[in-house]
Amino acid sequence: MNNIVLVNILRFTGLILLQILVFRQMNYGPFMGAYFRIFMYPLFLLLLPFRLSSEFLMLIGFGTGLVVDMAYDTLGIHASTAVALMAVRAIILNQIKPKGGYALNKGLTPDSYGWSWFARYIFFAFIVFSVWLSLLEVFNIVQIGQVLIRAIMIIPASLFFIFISVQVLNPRN
Amino acid sequence: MLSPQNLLKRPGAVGVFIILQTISLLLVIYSNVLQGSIFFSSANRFLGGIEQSRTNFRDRLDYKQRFDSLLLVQTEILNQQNSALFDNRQDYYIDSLVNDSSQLQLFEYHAAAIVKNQFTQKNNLITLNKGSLHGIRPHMGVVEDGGLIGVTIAVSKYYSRVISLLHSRLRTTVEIKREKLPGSLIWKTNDPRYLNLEGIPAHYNLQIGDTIQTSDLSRIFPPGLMVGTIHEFSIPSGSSTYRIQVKLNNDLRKARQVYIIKNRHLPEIEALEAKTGNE
Repeated sequence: MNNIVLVNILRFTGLILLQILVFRQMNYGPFMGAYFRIFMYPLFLLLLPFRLSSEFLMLIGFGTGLVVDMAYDTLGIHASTAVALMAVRAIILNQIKPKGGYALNKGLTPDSYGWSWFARYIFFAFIVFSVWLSLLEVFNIVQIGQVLIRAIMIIPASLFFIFISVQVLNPRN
Repeated sequence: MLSPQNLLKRPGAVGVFIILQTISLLLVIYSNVLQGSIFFSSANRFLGGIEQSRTNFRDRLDYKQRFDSLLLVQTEILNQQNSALFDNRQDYYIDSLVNDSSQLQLFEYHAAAIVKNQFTQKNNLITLNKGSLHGIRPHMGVVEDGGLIGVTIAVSKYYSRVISLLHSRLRTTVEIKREKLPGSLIWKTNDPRYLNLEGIPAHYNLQIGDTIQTSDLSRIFPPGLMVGTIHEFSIPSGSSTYRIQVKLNNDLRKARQVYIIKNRHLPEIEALEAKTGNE
């Protein structure tokens, strides 16, 4: 029990620091920051234990998003996105249910259910995440094209770093 | 079992979602300039419409009051016109003293509104919202700003019926202003904008555009009120009078606010004429 809590706290701290100190600052150069935006903190939210209730997940998401917001000076945007992400997490997990179903004691990792499953999990989750985030950033329906472009540009770079880090660290729970 | 489906379907989850999203979105619009301005300008356009309706409604009540008081002023002014007054000087001598009763109110103006207008028939009648309670009697002239409307024919307690100018059997005594020629105004054209003027002898000079006004021979209308202008005229072969078409100054189809005119001396005049007979 304690172990899991500790691990998650570590994940939270690490990813948030990474997000704020590294990826937040990547605004220089022709593409970085403007087009290829990278978000890694959703990984923390997606790796939270399977058994947690939706309400609790959403609360954690709200808090996490708020912390990121403070660093990005966009109060409320990431908070809302994280809550939305946690709301649909259960739906995504249900849609990509592996053959034997989910087990309560296994973490939501490629180690538990395979890389194919994990890739789909992260992919769908990030689509939801980036679309919701871009919608809030643009905030009007007229510029729907802008919304889609921003959303699409988040995905490749973020997923790249996420898969790299998961591959390297190989989490078990 | 605890499956993702069950977890999502818990009613508490929806509530938490709504609460957290509301808080987040409030943060978004209040803390971020772009989102805030987009939101508040859209909200403003929406709420502004509601606010506009409320203001319009409130203003309407205000306008009614202001209109009523203006109407009072207008009626007062009309009542003081020279044409509405009766020269009561006992003797025609130059007197430096001003006689208080040298001018009596002869024609009394009462403001009223048209509640039912009619202009599509051959004989049209109009209903007004003043009646016997307000001193209205049959045989009173009805005018509006810039033109005639008709003559009252029947009254009830609160309402009166008026024969419109656009009635084939109404004859009004009017005159050509320039020559002071009296004639009868009748509606024979079936066009609500034009009436006919009869009784003008053919040896007089007429011009298109000549003003037609109420005559002082009429006991129903104060003299000098604008009626219309000569639109066209001709002399039918074998006739000794002109056939004249008068273009009305006012559009009876649009008439709303009118004045009913009471001739204070009318009972006396009619009684006198009845006594001596019309020969």
